[in-house]
Amino acid sequence: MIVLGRSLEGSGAAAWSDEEPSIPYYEVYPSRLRVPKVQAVSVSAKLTRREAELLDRLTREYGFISKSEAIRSAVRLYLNLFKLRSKDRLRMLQLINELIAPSVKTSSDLVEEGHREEDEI
Amino acid sequence: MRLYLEPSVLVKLFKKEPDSTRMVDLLGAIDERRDWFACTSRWSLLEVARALKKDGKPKELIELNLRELKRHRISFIEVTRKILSDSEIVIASHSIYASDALHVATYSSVARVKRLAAMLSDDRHFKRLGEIVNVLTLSEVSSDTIRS
Repeated sequence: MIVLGRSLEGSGAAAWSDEEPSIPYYEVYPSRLRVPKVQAVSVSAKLTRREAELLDRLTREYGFISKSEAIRSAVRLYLNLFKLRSKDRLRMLQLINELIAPSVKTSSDLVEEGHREEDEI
Repeated sequence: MRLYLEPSVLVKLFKKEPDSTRMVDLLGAIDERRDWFACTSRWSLLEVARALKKDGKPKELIELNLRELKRHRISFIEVTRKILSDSEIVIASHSIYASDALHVATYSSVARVKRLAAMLSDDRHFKRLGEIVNVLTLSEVSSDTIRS
């Protein structure tokens, strides 16, 4: 579920006015929804208990000031990946795949195994 | 160059192995150059997903990889009744897996219209399919061709 709303930074109506806010705002990706000029968007997400525990651990171990800060950092990392050129993005994704689940099997072996499964069925 | 991409080369995009860098470069050429074209069957997405699952990749990573695959300038050809019945004929006359037959039938159905030069596959699948369709391996696509 996505919730759009005013930034908590800045005071009340000033956050919606055309005046430049005195507090620097984070630049965020524009929403497709027709929303008055806003500088920040709030997004809420449901996590499983296990994910919430891991998030707690990540927040502590990496010294984030809050879980929101950790989530914000993760989202920015993800968005940065998607801003890369196609070839660079694929190279990064190859590395991520290899780091998360390294394997000695080749693509050819894996596809071949899938074919054999189908035949067995 | 206009190619049909067989799943064994698509899986290479998400692994570090021989020719995987060449495959990334090739997809870069497909994305950026008008004289390159690539297509594959929509069924390939399932084969790639299954291969990644067998490789031990977590659900989120498989979904991310598939989303990435769909983001590129690869045309995904629908699995039609005609393609399925052509696949049956291929299976009846050759000793190949059902999935391979589907790719052969899909390739044959669009080869002329899409002016395909070859089916891009890896060595092992090349040996099986090379007798039926025009197959190229990644090592046969020179780096110069990709870069020029």
